[in-house]
Amino acid sequence: MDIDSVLQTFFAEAEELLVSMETALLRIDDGAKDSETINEIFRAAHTIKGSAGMFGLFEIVGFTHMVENVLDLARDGKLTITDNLLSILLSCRDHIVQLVNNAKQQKKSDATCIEQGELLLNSLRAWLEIKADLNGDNVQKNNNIQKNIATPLDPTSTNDNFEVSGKTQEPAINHDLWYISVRFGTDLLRNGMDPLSIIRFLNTLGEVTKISTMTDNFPTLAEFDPETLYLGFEIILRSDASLEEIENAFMFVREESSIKIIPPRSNILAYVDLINSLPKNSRRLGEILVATNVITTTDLELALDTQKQQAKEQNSIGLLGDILIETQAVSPELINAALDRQKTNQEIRTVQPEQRFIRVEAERLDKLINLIGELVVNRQRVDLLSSKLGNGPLTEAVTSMGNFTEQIRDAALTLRMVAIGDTFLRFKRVVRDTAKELGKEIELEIEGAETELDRSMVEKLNDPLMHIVRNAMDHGIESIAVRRSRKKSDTGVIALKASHKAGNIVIEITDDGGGLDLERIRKKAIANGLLEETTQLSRQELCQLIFHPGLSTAEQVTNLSGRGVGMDVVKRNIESLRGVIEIETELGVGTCITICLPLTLAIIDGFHVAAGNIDFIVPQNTILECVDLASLNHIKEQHYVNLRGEQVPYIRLQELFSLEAQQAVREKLLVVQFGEKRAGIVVDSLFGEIQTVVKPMGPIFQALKGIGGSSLLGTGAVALILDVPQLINVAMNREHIRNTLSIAGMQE
Amino acid sequence: MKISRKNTKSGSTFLCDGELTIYTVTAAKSELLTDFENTIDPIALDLKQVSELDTAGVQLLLFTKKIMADNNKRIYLKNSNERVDGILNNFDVATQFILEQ
Repeated sequence: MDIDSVLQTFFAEAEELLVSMETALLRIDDGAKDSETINEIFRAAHTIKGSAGMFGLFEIVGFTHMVENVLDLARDGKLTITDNLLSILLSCRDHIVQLVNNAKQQKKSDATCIEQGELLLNSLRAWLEIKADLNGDNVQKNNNIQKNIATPLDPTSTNDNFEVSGKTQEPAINHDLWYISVRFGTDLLRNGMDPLSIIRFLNTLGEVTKISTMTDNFPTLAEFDPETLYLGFEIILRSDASLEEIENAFMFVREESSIKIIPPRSNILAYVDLINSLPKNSRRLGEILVATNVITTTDLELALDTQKQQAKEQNSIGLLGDILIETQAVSPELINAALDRQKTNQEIRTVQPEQRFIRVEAERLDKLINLIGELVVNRQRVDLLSSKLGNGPLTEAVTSMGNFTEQIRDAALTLRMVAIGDTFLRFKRVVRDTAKELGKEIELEIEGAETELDRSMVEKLNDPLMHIVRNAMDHGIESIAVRRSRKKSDTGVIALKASHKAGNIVIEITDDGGGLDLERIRKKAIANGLLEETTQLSRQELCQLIFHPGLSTAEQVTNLSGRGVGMDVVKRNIESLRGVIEIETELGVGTCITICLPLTLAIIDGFHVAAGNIDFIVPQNTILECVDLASLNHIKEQHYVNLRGEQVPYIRLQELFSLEAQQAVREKLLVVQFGEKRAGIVVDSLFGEIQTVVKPMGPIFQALKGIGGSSLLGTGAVALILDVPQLINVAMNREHIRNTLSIAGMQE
Repeated sequence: MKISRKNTKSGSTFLCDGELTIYTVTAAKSELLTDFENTIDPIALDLKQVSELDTAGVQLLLFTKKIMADNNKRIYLKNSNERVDGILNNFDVATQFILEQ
């Protein structure tokens, strides 16, 4: 086992837990003070502490432990989470993030970080003491806490120090003796794991009352390799932890090790009773055992694996029960009790599907999707060849293969899809903190959190969204005084909304703040030399000016925004995702920024066309309709057509890319749309639908406007994929230039 | 890691200095066990200067004890520090390094 990859798993898990911890804390801020939410926060802290302990990250353990203590009190209803405590807990959560990051980068905490940690610990201590005082608890308990937390950050402190929680102070009624027998994999030490940290971790779950270090596997002097682990351990643990929790101590070593955990004897009869008292819905033996906590799911999986293997080897299926007994996972009497139950329940069978997740490296998914992309292309080639052959059954087979290929492609793409909700929820925190900082009251509304989009896009959306939301808070939402004077409610509202629209993702960021002062933007742009005094711009064009580098209308520069950098970066980021960004605003009423993005970047449904002997692909979801250009009213010089009364500008690919003109072709007009804009693209011939894998253009061609990528056709020819948003802009600009020219002409 | 051996009439002493961990056990093994026939019973371990000890280090100490015992030599912990004691106690092996008179 590679320690690095295990550590990476820990970091990834810790990051997820910290996110869910923050989300839950913010739910409390919203008024959800139910035990489930507090439990969620507690569990997150608890799990982080536990895993950190296994890796010897004692700084994280020490700090998180205190947080856990406070949460434990809150969970038991002994402490109410006030606004003040919530702020402390949020800061604590941030501090844990910092500690985890430090561990990830293998650097020691610097002085400010340690100081920050101490400050937070002190605040937490105060809360623990308040609680003790409230309960009129004796001084000793108070001292206990003080003594125990005196050196929580000292990595050499023994684990007894972590036992501050109520558990140890209560009379030890439920403590039980567990018997644990471990023979680790011989390569454990070489892989960077140390049984010492596991033993220390067991000490945090309870008390190791006896440990025998077994040396019976020692080889002869000549054979002894000091880096190989020969030691075994027989451990008796006094703990009221669950089997799962104890097993978790061995989570990262169990693959190569043989671990037997025998639950406290006194509990076994209780388990037998439990099995007999199960409700009468039939479940498999294993599930019964898991449900009654006699064995854990991992045990069951191992046993099932063994069962499968035996079946293969002996061609007969070993009884699950026998295997569990053989591996000593459960005692025979337990199996029998479970079997009895199973027999009486065999008629009604309900298997509850369990929700399971597998952690997969993003890179592997990308590889799979790339391969599927190649498959899609190859299928088209097969399609082409089979249609040439005209063999009926072959064509049929190829068609059905095509159906499956499409399904595989769709399924593969959904693998990469994640709900945007997590990203949105992160802003709750940002809004909460920033609003406090600015002295404003701001509420964040979220809609369409379940909307899914490509994972890689979510990551790239974070920064632009953050910037827009911060801008909205800083410049959009007015101060309370101004809001009152405008007869608005004190609390400003920022809404994040995501939805699917015609193959695109639409994200709207709306605020009910002051709106953009277009006149001021105009003046500023003129002052900065971005605009001629006489130039007439539409509302949308004026709005788009804020995306121009070096234009900020904020009168007061804050540390949040207003330095005039950023919005241009936002626009660039969105455009690099093949998206467009638009602004609607009304002075004094509010602003709405709309981001329109394609669903995925990897594979597209396209429409195969040709102009001037070159193959092009137009993304299908952008196409509204195809018409014969000759059938429409159009004036060649003006480059727009009258489409059922609407003026639509168009461009001719053959002209745009200076291609050879084809003789005597009936030109076709593709009407395309992106966002709210429409334009026409004139091509020579239409071939039909095609699925293609988008290959990005090489660096030389990246500056090329209007081409988004390339793709191989089934015939082996290269087709260029049109960048429709860019083409629409080109068409619109041309029209705009012509309009200004004609206006200028009239003025002359 | 530095291990030096001192033989006197009343017994040998191994003086260990530095970390006794997975990174140093291979070197330490040869210091402790090559030529072990020439040690003089009883053998004292001075671990006072040991800055770091892990499972690999503990295992080496236990193995040394086993080899010595197989050859009718006794080995005991003469000197140690808090950290070493703590770790030996974690494995409950400190008692294995007590000199039985």
